[in-house]
Amino acid sequence: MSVRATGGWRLRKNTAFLLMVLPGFIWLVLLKYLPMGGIVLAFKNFHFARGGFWQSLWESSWCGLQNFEFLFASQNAWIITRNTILYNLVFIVTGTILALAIAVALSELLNRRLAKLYQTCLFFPYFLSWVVVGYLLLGFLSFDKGAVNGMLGQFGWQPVQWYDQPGVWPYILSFINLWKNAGYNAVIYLAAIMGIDRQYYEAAEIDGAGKWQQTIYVTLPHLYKLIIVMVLLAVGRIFSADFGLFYQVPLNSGALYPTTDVIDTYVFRSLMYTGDIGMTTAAGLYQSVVGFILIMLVNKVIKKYDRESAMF
Amino acid sequence: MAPEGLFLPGEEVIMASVKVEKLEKVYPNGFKALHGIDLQIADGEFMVVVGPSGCAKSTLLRLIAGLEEVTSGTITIGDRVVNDLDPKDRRIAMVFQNYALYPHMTAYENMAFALKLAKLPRAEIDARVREAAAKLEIEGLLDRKPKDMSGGQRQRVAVGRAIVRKPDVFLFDEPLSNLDAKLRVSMRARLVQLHRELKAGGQRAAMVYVTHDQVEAMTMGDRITVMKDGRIMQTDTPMALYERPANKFVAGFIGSPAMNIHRAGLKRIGDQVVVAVSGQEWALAPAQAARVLASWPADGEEVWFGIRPDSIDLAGPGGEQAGLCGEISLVERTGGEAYCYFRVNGDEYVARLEGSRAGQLQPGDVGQFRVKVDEGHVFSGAGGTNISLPAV
Ligand SMILES: Nc1ncnc2c1ncn2[C@@H]1O[C@H](COP(=O)(O)OP(=O)(O)O)[C@@H](O)[C@H]1O
Ligand SMILES: [Mg+2]
Repeated sequence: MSVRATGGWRLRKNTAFLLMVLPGFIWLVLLKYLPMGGIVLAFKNFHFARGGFWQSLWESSWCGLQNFEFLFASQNAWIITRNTILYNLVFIVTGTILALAIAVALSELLNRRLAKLYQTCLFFPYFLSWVVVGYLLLGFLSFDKGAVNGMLGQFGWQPVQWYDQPGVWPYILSFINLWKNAGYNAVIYLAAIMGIDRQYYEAAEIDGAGKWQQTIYVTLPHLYKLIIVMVLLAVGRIFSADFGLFYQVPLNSGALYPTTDVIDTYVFRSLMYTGDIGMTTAAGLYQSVVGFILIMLVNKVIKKYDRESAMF
Repeated sequence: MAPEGLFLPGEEVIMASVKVEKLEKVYPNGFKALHGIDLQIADGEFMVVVGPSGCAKSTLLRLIAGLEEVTSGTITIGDRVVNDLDPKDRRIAMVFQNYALYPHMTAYENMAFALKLAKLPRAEIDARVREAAAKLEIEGLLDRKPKDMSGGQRQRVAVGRAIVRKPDVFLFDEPLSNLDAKLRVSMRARLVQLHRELKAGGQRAAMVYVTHDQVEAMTMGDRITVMKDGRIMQTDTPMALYERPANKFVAGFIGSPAMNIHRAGLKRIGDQVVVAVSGQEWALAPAQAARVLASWPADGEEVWFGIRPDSIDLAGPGGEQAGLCGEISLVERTGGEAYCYFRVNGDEYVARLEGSRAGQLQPGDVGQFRVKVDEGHVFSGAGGTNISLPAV
């Protein structure tokens, strides 16, 4: 049989599957691969010219790595990189642990209807816009009308200028992130827990494992692969911060930049104030490349310890 | 003091036995699965619980194991009422239908898990696991994870996991039903042999083995409990169940091919009792007749008459015996013997014939059969109780 014939046969055999893949494939090419052409902007000195964007792009001069130099030369490069990575690391660790804890707790609830109610409550913040969250928080932290300062006043303490205190914001932002996202991730873990065969728990019970040991020896091993995939995906985004969280929630307060400024907010402000598309593209490319390298690295490490749990 | 449910070396082996009294189970959704069950299992006994799917065999087993809460009644293991004990404190071990081996642990770790949780010394754990592995011939598999084992191998590891705990009671829930037919037969023999070995080794553990397969029950059990719809129909040795079924259900459930059971009428003619079935009239043997007379059905003469395929044979030339004559619909030849299906007056019968005697019989032929009426059973029309049984 010729290679052509084999190929044709396989095409026919898998038509249905290929059709199922098609929408995703089109989406991927249209929205993820075609725009990659824009990467050239990172290496060009972009200026708007007559004739629209494409004309401008064509006519702009190449500038080598100048855009990157500009990004890294600014004294903020170190701060925003550090902030981005540290926040994301904290988010990954705390987020995963809390989501798992919530999922396990929900799965242990015997009353299914109550469990659904709790689940919905925990899930709800995920759908709130960051702008709303930002002003909700302002309701708590506002200097003169905030609930927190109001409470401090009750105890006779001085009110605090929360939006002037960079030191407390890592805690505030970490907490807000957990509050908003943990429920969502917990649902994913909960679905996986629900899929675990009850017989494993019964076998463990007979073997003498208590609830805690059942979690350690049955639940977590079954979630292990899912956890790895979720962490791996998160690590890939470790250089990209959740823009809304870092921009809207601190209300873009300049005094807080040392602890709230991350790559995304920095790039956004640069674009707003300087209109430098080249530099912002360079920053975006920098995030993607480092993210890509990180995913490959982590996957490699996982592969080394446990071949089958690696993603690729 | 040894941890509950486990023996330490040198500790005296306590006589195991299970006693279930007036056990009822109502599930949270209100479904009553068990209707007051009484059952006693001696130490060292291999008890098979058999019944059609949904008759609450698993429920019974899970109640003994402590995986379900008792609604009412008591369960005693050894000399302790265990109703309120955790599974791990009941000195039981269970083998699940899907084996339920922990997928991320090796065979060794699976078997050692309970002992590890009980904080037994490492050397003792190792000795027990290796001893069990040797018994089950799975020493070569100890480093493998469940996904790298065949169904039969997993099955053995699951049994090994039960053995190492040295329980008073082994609970098996249809452990062979996921194996192919051939493996099932060999595992059947292995389990029986294992039970004997454990007993010979001084571990007089009781085994409670649940299955829906009556062949498995007949070949494995010291005694068999037949269940139906959450009630016990009869508990006895395999041969006793076969020869003296207490009721129509047991008679029809035990034995393959199933007993021929048909509507029948009873008539008293002096001292004689005549049973009228499928258009025939047969006089019962004197002893049988006396027993039927003693428990003459109150609701008149409508009864059931049951006769095993073994008690029907091709008619010889003599022909003075009770007989049946019908058109043959199917002849199943297995070599040594043949099952001959035929119809008389609209009633379907099957006869077990010696292979050579089935000879040239073909579907469509009219066969002449003789019936050993004194090997038959009379069941009451309403309750299905066997009224031709000798009183015990
Ligand atoms: N958790 C449960 N809730 C309600 N009904 C149940 C539950 N488990 C089993 N049952 C019902 O109890 C009956 C007996 O079930 P089971 O013990 O599993 O039967 P078997 O093992 O003999 O097939 C069935 O009718 C089943 O539907
Ligand atoms: Mg069952």
